[in-house]
Amino acid sequence: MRYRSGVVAFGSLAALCITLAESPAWDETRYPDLKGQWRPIGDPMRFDPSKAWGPGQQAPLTPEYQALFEANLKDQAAGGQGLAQTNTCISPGMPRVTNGYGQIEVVVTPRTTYFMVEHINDNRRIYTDGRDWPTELEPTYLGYSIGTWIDTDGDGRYDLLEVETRGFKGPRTYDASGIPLHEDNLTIVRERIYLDKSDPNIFHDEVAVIDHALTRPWIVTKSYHREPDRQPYWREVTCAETNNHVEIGKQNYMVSPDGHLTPTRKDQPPPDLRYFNRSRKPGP
Amino acid sequence: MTERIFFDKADPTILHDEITLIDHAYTRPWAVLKSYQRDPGKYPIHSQEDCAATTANVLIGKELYYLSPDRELMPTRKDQPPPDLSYFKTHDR
Repeated sequence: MRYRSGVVAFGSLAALCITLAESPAWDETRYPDLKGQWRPIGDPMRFDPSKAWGPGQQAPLTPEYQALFEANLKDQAAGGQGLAQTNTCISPGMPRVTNGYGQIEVVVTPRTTYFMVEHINDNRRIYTDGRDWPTELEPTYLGYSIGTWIDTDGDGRYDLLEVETRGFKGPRTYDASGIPLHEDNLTIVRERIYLDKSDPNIFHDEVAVIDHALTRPWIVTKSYHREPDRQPYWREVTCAETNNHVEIGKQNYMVSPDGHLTPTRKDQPPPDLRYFNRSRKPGP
Repeated sequence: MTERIFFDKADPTILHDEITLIDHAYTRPWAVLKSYQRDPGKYPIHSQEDCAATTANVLIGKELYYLSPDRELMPTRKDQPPPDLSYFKTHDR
């Protein structure tokens, strides 16, 4: 029995040594200080914060997708949601999550850097452990991100995070105006993320989108500022708790404050109630 | 709710969480030990769960309905009344 315990103890020690040997040495001082709460500089409702909303973004769309975008704007003007489907609380996905509409926390760990956005299923996981692209990717709204920390000036500290993201599903749009990404979901998003050289309370994200709905890559630089409070308040956001949009069939309706279904556009037909026993009185 | 989170002393791939709930619905604190196993894969898959993209539940007022495969409204219990459509101009569908 003592012999067996010794084997178990040796096995556990060996397992621990393997675990330690596999863990890269973590030296926090080699990475930029990204602690705290970050908010966007500029309007988070626009993909390019330096340009006006909607058509003013001047997205380099192909004629086919420009027509889709314009039809989407007409639908929104009539009370619809157009192509921007986050009213149902689905994840905005990439690259829209870089707009910074929620409170952002950046967590740097030896193998992964997390961009956590307190909003709707939009926490990003960027693998920095040297992995290659998997042979098969499960498509997601946020995609699969691989990053590399780089020491550009050779001072022994990383100052740039380069990220590439692939493996998407849709539908996705760039912002609430409904600028669409291609339905083939073969988007590639490349980012360069770095602290401002003169202000350590600002970081920049140069976002380059390559997508078949575009005539050329769409490159936008976004900036975020750190909240001065080092113990900031983190608001809990639960989209479904307060959402009053309802999708039935191909129609978007709303639920009124008194709990009744209401149309979202003029002369919108009510939902089809064929599955109900029509002799029953309507509910409250 | 208080927690004590720690690795298993004998197995570093197991994480324990001792949870104690103190609540006026209980006659005494409720303490539960939960344990978690580390995925042995070098690059484990973290799938993205997006409840809203797949859910078929629809809450209108205090009534929960269900969406059929053709995305039309269905009752969730026998003789459940349909939603009130009085805010629609035509509600005789």
